[in-house]
Amino acid sequence: MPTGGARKAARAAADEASEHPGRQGARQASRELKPVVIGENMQRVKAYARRIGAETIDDWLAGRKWTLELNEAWIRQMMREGRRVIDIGPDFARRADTGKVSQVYGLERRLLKGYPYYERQFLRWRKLRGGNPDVDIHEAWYYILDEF
Amino acid sequence: MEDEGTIEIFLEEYTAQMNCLVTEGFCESPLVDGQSTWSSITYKVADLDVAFEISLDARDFIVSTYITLFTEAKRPGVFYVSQGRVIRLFLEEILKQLGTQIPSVQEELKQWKADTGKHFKRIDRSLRALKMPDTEVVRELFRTDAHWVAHFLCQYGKEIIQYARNYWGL
Repeated sequence: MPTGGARKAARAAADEASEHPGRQGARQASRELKPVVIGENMQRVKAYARRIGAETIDDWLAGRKWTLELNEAWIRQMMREGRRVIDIGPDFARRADTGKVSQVYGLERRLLKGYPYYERQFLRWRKLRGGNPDVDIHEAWYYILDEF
Repeated sequence: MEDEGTIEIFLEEYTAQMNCLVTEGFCESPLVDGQSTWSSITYKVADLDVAFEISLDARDFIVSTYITLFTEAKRPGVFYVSQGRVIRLFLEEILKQLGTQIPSVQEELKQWKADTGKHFKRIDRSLRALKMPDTEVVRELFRTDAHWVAHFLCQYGKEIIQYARNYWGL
């Protein structure tokens, strides 16, 4: 009979395994389930998800009130399901305008560190320049092309 | 943030203070859109394809006010750009331009940032500690910001629209 400590360790191992699905199972899930989009500024994230036929946390919440705990639970579930997670990055225009940085997007990035199906779909050029060319202000892109 | 949600507070505070745009016949009745993590209130300028859009990112308690090319901005899958054109301009950017012609705008802009900044700092501190901010602090932030946004739109609405018309060639 396992002791309390052993039980705890076993549970942790099981949780770990369920968060990192087997390669074959996750590949299968990646093919069948829609990818999800993350990034800064949810209206912008939603617009990009619509363009590519992906989902956002709003689809998962299905009308429930957003909370930090639910946000974390969503990321963990997407990882367990082996979903492709597409990151469109910071909203550099909003950062330049307001000086405000999303703490929640930062939390998502930390949770996804090392996740094999994470895809970065943005460029960063200096502190406040970059973004995703499909949704972000394109003057920045001329600037980037000029620099190269 | 247990009893009253961020989105409900946002809608209450901004629609209450932005009413001047409708009562003066400058804008049509507001259009409200949103999901669990965001909400927006759009005031379309009467007889013109331009709107004022106040947008809340409910996860971060950040409110942005844009001047939009209305028809394009409402298309699904579009955000800052559409068909090679920028279709959302930040109110603050336009006010900075106006400030070069109207000196009082510069002072008012500084005051707006100072007034809202102190409330936002408290919210940001909570989020950094992975805690939901206090409802009353959120309400104070939205009320203060809504007061200033309403002031700018009602006071300088015509100049802002003229800037947008020139920008988009309307």
